[in-house]
Amino acid sequence: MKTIECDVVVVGAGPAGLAAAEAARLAGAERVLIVERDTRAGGILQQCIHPGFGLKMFGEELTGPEYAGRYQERADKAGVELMTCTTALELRDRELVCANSDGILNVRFGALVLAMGCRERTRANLVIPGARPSGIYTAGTAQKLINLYGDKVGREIVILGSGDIGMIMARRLTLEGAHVKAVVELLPFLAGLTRNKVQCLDDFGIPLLLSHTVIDIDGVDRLTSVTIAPVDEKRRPILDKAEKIPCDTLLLSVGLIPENELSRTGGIALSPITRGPLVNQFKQTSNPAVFACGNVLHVNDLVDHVSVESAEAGRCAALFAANRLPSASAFSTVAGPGIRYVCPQTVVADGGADVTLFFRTLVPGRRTVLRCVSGGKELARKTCIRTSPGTMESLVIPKDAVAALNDSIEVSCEHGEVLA
Amino acid sequence: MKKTITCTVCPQGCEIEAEYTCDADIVVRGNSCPRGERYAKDECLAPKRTFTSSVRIDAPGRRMLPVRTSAPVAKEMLLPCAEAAHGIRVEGHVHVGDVIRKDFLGTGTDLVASMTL
Amino acid sequence: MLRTDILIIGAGAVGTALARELSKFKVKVLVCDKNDDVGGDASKSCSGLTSTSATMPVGTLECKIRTISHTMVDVLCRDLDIPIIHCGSIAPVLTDDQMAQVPKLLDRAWQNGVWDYEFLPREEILEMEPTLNPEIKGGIYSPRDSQINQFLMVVAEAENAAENGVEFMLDCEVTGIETEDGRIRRVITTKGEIEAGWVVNAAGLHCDEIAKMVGECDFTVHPRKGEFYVLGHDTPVKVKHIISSVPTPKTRGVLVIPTTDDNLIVGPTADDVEDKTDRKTTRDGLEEVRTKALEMVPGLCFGDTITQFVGARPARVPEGYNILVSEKAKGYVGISGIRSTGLTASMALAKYIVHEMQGAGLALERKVGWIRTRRGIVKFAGKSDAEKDALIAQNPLYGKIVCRCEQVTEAEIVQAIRRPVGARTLDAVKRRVRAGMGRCQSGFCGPQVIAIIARELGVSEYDVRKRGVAAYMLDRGGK
Repeated sequence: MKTIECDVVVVGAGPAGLAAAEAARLAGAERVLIVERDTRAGGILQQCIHPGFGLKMFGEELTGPEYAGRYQERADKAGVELMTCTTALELRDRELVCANSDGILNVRFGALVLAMGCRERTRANLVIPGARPSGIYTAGTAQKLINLYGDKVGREIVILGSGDIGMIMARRLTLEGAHVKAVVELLPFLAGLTRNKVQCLDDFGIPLLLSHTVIDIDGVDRLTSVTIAPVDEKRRPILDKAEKIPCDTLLLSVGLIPENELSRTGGIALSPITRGPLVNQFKQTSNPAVFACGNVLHVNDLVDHVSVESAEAGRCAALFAANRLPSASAFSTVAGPGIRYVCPQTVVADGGADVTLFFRTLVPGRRTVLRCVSGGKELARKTCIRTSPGTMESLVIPKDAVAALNDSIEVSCEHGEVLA
Repeated sequence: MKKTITCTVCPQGCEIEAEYTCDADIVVRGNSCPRGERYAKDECLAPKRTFTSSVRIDAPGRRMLPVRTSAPVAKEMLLPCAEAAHGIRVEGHVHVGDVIRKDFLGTGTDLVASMTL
Repeated sequence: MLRTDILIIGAGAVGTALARELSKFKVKVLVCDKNDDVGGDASKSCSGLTSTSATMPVGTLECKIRTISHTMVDVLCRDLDIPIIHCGSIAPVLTDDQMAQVPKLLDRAWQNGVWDYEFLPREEILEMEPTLNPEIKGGIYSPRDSQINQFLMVVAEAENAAENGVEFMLDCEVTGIETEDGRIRRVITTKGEIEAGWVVNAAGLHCDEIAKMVGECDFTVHPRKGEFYVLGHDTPVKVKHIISSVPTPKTRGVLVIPTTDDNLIVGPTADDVEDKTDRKTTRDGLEEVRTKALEMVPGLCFGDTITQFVGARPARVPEGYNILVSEKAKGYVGISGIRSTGLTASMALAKYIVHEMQGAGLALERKVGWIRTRRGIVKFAGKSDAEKDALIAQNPLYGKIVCRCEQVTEAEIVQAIRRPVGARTLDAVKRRVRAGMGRCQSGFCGPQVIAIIARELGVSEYDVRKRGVAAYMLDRGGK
């Protein structure tokens, strides 16, 4: 058993971990180590070979591996240490237990950043009745098999869920010669980004069936068909309108869940809504030495946001390790009318920097006014041409207003016109 | 002719109205930035997309190399490009940006590596 | 042609227990099964409950065998390193109708020799199991009911039998049995002909089809489907005991079971169906399980479901355990009517069958050097830091975590494949070492496990199956 010490240890070398580690070094942390279970850095971006990354961060359209590559170079240059093929097993107070083929490694840290990302919801989470044949994949698993392993998963495909990965896989499978018969979405609106519908479905004439769901699965060995049906306004399937679609593959793109099992071993308090840690604007969790960023905190739609948020987490972790992170009274953020959740869940009344609140709306709409109010005073406001639950929104509270906080902060949303 | 185009330049997804009679004269409304205007005009005349795929590589611990075209190609070239990518085998060390196929399928853009392996 | 003294058809709980029992003697034993793995159809998908005979029909062969067998479970688990938890069971009494049943149930348990089957008042039951519905009127406590890992029980018996010389032929379906002069001669299978002196039909759900081949079938078998939920480790409301509905003669009803792997299993339904391949969960069935379970344990979080599955118990008509030593086709032994109680009953049942076969002329001589014990694959998860470090020092593959949800290492997966009667499919690996059994249901580790199986067996990844031969994962014709 080996023990090492570092100022900041980061769990996960995906986009969140790389950005956090770089920022921690730049903020003065002496020894910054990333622990990564894969053979190289990049995380999920390694399999996201499609374009569309980095428009905000680099002003150009990059693929996932290119985006990850740039951040890896930056982390390297900043002097971050990367330990691959190493799995973090357990978080204890100021100690992270890891395993690799050399044995058990205890990493003592001044501060730790959780950046493990998320996992996909499965068929069981949705309780889709039917048989249990092979040929049912989550979209991300299919993406890994196709893009990293060069395998094919099937020929006649139905996709359940209009999440981004599902739509991106619809295009990828079509280009690989498979026949994507339909993308089926339970909700009356798209779950992912509009541009993915345009570029991945519309471009190839793939039908999108909103307000539909899969109600039955057939196949003793390999999948042979799925049965789909429209749903009523209470999302109950209308059984007499059911239709059987022969297919050999069902992909599920039905949502992502932050991967917080490690956080749980450390007793970190989690939000029942985001299923990520409860944090303040420093991305500091219920254990003051532990920070969280990226999809482990809340599921993002744009990696560019992840990079910004994670750099802040890394910077604050470095400050904490050096005993320089400010402390003051904290006020909670509240998801007001039309808002599903707000992250961070608390704001410390410290005027060191502006604070960005990230949140999601409940339903899509046009001419949407987003506001954040505290103690009867409006702290931030913006009007958007359109908003949708699939797109993360944000408001920035100026630092003077942060310093002057003396009440909780409510974020609300009012649509000029509600869509769907 | 009138066309409604959902802009895909950024995640905002503006709905842009484009009206045009002949190739040269396109009136665009509803965009919130100049890039949207350019995108809408391209969509009317010659829609373009960046092609991405992964191709076989002989590298330790790695079977596939992600690749992309260095610039967007005509939309109808996506399927032919995918077909052509199937036959590609890459050997040895590759650096991000390395050209795998020059002037890929005559599109005027190169097929380049998007990862260092 | 392959030749054996005894051919056992079916590698479920009964077939493997019998194989192990026979491996003590100087006879050649071969077990064939149409599936790719041991565990049969019913055994691998049952609830894993091993209980006393309290609720058994009085005076039946089933009751007698099971009563004896239940006393043998602990020794088997010790010898073969099979996980078991001695949690006891509680049947909460919720209605006046159920309350009226209690004296009859206690009386039957007494007649069956289960004298520690007791009715306890509400307060005592709630203190033992605070998650129960506070409206209960009391409950029946059965302290010797246990939960066994049903996958590992069959695997352990098969491994031990194999180590003692029994051969296993999997993916091998019996298509015909030939007799000559009123004696069994040979068995036709999809893997060729096998000459056998004795044929034991332990084919469970399919035992009627085999019995027909020798003209000894005066019964039918159909699946009694049971739908189950599995809830993850992290689910906030867990039970300490097996919680069962107040039993009816047909079934114990819906159960909430703490498993040896710290999950909860909730189910089953009991629906008689015709199609033997039907393993479909249904909207109504799952809803029935949910409703009934919530009546007993209102706090259960079905949102924490990691999977749902269907078990198929073989339902014989007419019912009842039946061991036939054939006169018409000498050398044929038919085992039928072994329903969900078979897991518990299998040890004594194996002894009983051997005894019957000896009575019919099978000469058995005890082997010297029979290996009694078998050790399970050492798990990485749950060990102390020092123990984990020592495991990695012995085998660096213990340092490679493949399944992140269940913390299963490559070392464990490789052992699951390399052991006797080893795993050859994703599901078989999952049953042995739990890779893919967790919350992401192999989404993360699936591709890696496929690669490990392909490497270990020296086959292409395209030939790696989820199970069987037709449940392919990857589509040939990849780039």
